Parts: sequence; structure tokens; C-alpha cells
Amino acid sequence: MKTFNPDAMGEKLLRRFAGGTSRRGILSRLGLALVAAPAFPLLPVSRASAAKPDRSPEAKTTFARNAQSTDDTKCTYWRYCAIDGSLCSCCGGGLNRCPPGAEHSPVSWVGTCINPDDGRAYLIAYRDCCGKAYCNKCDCDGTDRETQLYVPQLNNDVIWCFGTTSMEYHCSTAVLVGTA
Amino acid sequence: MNSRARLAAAAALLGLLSFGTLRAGEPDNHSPEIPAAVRGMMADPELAQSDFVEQCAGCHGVRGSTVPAHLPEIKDRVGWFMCTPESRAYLLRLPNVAHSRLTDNAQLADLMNYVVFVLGGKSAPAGTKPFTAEEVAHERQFALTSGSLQAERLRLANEAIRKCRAPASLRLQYLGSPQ
Repeated sequence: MKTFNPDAMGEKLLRRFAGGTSRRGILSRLGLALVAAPAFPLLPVSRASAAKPDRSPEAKTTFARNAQSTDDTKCTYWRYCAIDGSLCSCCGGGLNRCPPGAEHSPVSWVGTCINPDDGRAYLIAYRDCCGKAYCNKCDCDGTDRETQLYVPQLNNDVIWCFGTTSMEYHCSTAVLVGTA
Repeated sequence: MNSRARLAAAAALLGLLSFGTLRAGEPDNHSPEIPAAVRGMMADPELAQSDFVEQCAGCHGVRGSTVPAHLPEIKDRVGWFMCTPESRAYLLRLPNVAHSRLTDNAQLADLMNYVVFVLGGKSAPAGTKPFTAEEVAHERQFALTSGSLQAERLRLANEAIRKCRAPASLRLQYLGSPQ
């Protein structure tokens, strides 16, 4: 009668393992890993993080380096990086609000400004308030990302009073419409 | 919940409420929610949305409508132009699409799928396939440069009305528009 024999069992197990594996196999696998490793930074995850826009102080525009986030009646307020005209905040309106008697234009152009508080870029719509004489207070002209007049959708000299009852320009608002 | 957290919650609620009343009478400044059913049509729905706001929303509005400005309204209507291969190509051949500052065709395809399937609501005919990068790359070579865009739009709108039962108002820039 056969008794329990751990020695024979161990031997059998080891022999089966040795028969099914190759000692040189580990070399080929190690070699494969060494060759494959440099290919991983090409995968999309790594590329996506590398493509993030550079918002270090050196990469910022002069406007963004000097921008503040406390006083929206000054040209240096961060959302005004591409505004051209009177600030509605100085004319009886606000950042998002037209002064009484003036009408919001439904169309505008959209600029990209960096908020100094979190260093992130936001999309700002410069909606004009129309239908009243020019306010002519707090005249500002930020030009970040602005282009020539032949690309009108990125030009801040255009008076954006379209779709309003009057095309007379009064002042400009700076409405936050999204993150860049 | 401690008293500070409760105070913060109350302040947030108050802010939200007063924000709502302040916004009355102003244009809608908020992008629409992207429905879960159409997220799969874009590789990066959030990027498509911010690209739209940056490149297109100034004139077309963050929700695709700036009525009464004299512009073709996108909201709940643009999808009808997916009716025929020709009108589908027209959307990609429009000058500001074909000559877009977005040079990456896959990124532009995402933007246009956002326009058609998110802003266009349910206007795209059932079973419409989303735009692909290859399709965008091909069609943007044939940007509409000469001829009347309004006449071309009208011709394709009439076709969508005939073939896909689009509403007759598709001929107009927007409902109630003088032209």
C-alpha cells in the first residue's frame, strides 16, 4: 500500500514545471520588456497631458501677468483681456448686465482670458449693450488673441450690435460662457 | 452637518437663487447639458463643447440661437441638413467650418457632431451616422467659396423638406425671420 510521500510529490511537481518551461524564456521576456518600454509614452494618456497649454507666467501675455480679480471697473480686471470700449460696470450696468435703457446684443465675439486666481483659461463673450449714446467712461482696449478685421469673428473693433433694435453702441460687458 | 457647512450650503443656495433672478432678461450664457445618448458620437464631448463656444458661439449663441440676429438658427433644426449626402457635405463645406482654425480633422468632426446631435436636438433623421475625421478631411477640400450661401442653403432646405419631411420653416433663417 502506497503511503503519503511528499518527497515524490515535490519531485514530480518540479519535474513537470521544468519540462514545461524554458530557462532561456526569461531572457527573451526581459528583452521584450526592455524594447517595449520606450513605446509607452506614445500612448494617448501621456500625449494628452503633454498637450496641455503652457500657462506658466512666462507664457502669459502682458495683460494676463498684470491682471487682477477684485475690481471690475478697472481695465486690468482679468475678464477684460480682449475688450474694446467702455466698461458697462462704469456706466450703470455690470459685468453681465446692461445699464438701464440699453439692450444686450445677442451676438458677440468670444475671447480667452486667464483668471489669476486659479491660472485657468476661460471663454469670455464681449456682448455689447446697444441703443443708447456712447457711454465714454472707463475706455479699455485689451487685445489678447485679437486678430485683424478680415477675421471679423476675432476682431474687437467690430461693433457687435446685430439683432438689436438700434446699432448705436453704448458699452461692453464681459460674460463668462465657458472654460477653455 | 456642522453649522459652518450648513451656512455654506445656505449661502450657495442664496447665490444660486439671486443669480437666477439677475439673469432674467439676459441672453442664456450656459451651454446645454450633453445627453448621455449622444456622448458616444464624440471622442471628447467637453472639448467639442468648449471648441464650439470659442469658435462659433459668438455669432450662433452658446445654445445655437441668437434670434433675432440675421443668422441661420442651429438649435433643434440643423440636423435636418443630415438628410442627403449632399446637404450633409454642405455643413462641412461652409466656409467657417472648412477653413476653421481647428486643423485636427477628428477635433472638427467632434465639434460638428456636437452641433448636429447636441444643439440640433432631435432634428437629425433617425439612424444618422456621425461625422468622421476622414469625411471632414475630404469635404473641407471643397470649401464653398463662390456662389450665394443663402441660395445654396435654400436649395438644400427644400430638398430636406421634400425628402425627409423637414418642417417648411427650415427655408427661413429662423422661425418668424423676414427672409
